[in-house]
Amino acid sequence: MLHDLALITPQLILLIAALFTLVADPFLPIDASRKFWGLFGAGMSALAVVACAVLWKYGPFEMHTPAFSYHLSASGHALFFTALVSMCAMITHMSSPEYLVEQKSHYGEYYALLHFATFGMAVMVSAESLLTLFIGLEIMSMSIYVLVAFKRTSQASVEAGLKYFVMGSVASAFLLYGIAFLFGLSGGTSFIEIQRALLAPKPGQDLWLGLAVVLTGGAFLFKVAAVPLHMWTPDVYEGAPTPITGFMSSAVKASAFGSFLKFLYAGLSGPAMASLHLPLGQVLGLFAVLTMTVGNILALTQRSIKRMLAYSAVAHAGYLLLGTIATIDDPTLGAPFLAPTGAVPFYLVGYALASLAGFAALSSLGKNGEELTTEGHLAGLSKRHPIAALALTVSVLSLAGVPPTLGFFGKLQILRDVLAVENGKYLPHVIILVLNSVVSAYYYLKIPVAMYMRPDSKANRQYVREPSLTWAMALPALALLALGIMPGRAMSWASRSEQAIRAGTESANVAHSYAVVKGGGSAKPVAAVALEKPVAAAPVR
Amino acid sequence: MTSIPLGHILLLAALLFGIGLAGVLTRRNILVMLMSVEVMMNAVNLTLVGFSRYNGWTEGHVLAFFIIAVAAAEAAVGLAMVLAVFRLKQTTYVDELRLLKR
Repeated sequence: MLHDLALITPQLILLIAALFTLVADPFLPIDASRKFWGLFGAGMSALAVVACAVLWKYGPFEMHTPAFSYHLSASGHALFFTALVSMCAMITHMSSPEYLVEQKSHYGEYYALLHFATFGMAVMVSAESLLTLFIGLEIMSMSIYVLVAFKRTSQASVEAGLKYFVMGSVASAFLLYGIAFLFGLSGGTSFIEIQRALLAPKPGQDLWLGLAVVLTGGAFLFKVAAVPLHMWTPDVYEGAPTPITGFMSSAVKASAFGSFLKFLYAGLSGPAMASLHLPLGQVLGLFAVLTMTVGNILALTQRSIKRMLAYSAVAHAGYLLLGTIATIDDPTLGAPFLAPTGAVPFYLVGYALASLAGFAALSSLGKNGEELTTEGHLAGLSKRHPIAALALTVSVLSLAGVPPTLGFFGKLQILRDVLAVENGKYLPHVIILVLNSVVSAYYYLKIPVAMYMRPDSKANRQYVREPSLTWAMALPALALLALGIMPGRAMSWASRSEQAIRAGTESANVAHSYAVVKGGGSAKPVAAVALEKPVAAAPVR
Repeated sequence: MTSIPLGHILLLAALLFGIGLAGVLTRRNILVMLMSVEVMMNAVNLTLVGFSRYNGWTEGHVLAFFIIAVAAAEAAVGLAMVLAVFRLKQTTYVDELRLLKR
């Protein structure tokens, strides 16, 4: 039990931070509350990142052993994504207080909700069963619904929250219905049980499995804002408080893709999937191409920067969906076995940092309830608020994939990995991705052009210049450049994260069948035996 | 004991799910839309409990309890949001929320 608790230290830190914020906030005077909670939240999130790093480095050897009887794990995958979302939360905590004060909606609950959302994400990406995945997803979503509607005197914010809530709860109903069918097929909710049930195709199973794949897949596509389920994105991104928009496009997207990868690889693979005759790679490829193209074309015409970045988030969901193909192609589906290079997690790091820097910079534009975030407002920003202009420039350059930034290497890795699948089977998709990047450069580069080359207007515009907000935009922008110059470390972390999905699934499978052969008994020592096989042995099947 | 066959339970659940979905898509009152989502959730519960009962599993019942709890929390959040909208607009009909419909 203590061992289990030790494995979820990062999640516990986030949960304790949330509960403490909720309990202690009423006792703080308003001024103290404005100064304290942002720092406290950033500190606790940073502590969660540190806890992930410690577990990653010094964690027990049986790390792949899922804790709490196959419901949660602290595998490399879980730790990587928990650290990523905690990092996003840290930046969001830093960028929020001044924005909220200027928008006249500073309440302590905001920080508690942010912690709860991060906790939900951490649970979701660490899930080893569909039950925990669902609970984590709901904890995250419900906190995010409220955070989107947090500017409760602003009609746009409240309506955006309501819209997201209605659509999101329909999506979770779909996910649940899919989970129910997977449960009916396998008699369990953990990924291992589902995978075991899918090892042997049973007669009459195809219909249920197909339904389950369509329903759960639809729910995930909604969460990552893929076309045709992207309709909510522009409205919600525009209506939400700007730091929350940044949090959504970084952390929500990262956790949704993290659990999607886990679910696809650990849940839905095996001979039964092959007998379904559903070319999962090609279906995902189709959605990816549609998503990136529609997202980029709609982004071209936007005047509001928040709305434009929302469509660009849709386009990036397309790039990432294409990246998932490289991960899920599986020998049992008739494709050659690929080394998991971690294209999707690696891309997500670059994308998350770029979104955080960009939206933190946008948060600083405007005081007293104003949001100066249309293209026209940006004219001459380089003279008025040079740091915000610089951070926004680095952010959009990374989103566009310009070389010295991390975004370039992320895209490069996705291109390389997808091309490697079955000797260039997805070459057309890759060409479409490159063309899309060219199109997207047009609207991304409009932003630096407006900031640095347009003549400054005489209008009186005020900007927030508090140090915490400035650091919130500077840190991710610096990280984008630093990791862009030295991408090797982040790349190896990302590939270790993907390897962990694979190794964790397989060693757990061995452990499970061993336990079954032995006629039950405690799973732990058995799993330890199975793990004496090193991770590198996984590809031998 | 004559028991209801699993197929009937699943069919009923599928019908409920469809009714709920149709409700969300066609009704314009947010409160009714929330009720429809609850119907969808309960259809899922019925499916889970049906599978569990038919096969003698227990995990489905547990999952159904979790879903009931989550649905209750979701209803609370949803109603709070409806209240926030009502304070600003004095309406619960989505047709009258035009700000975000472009």
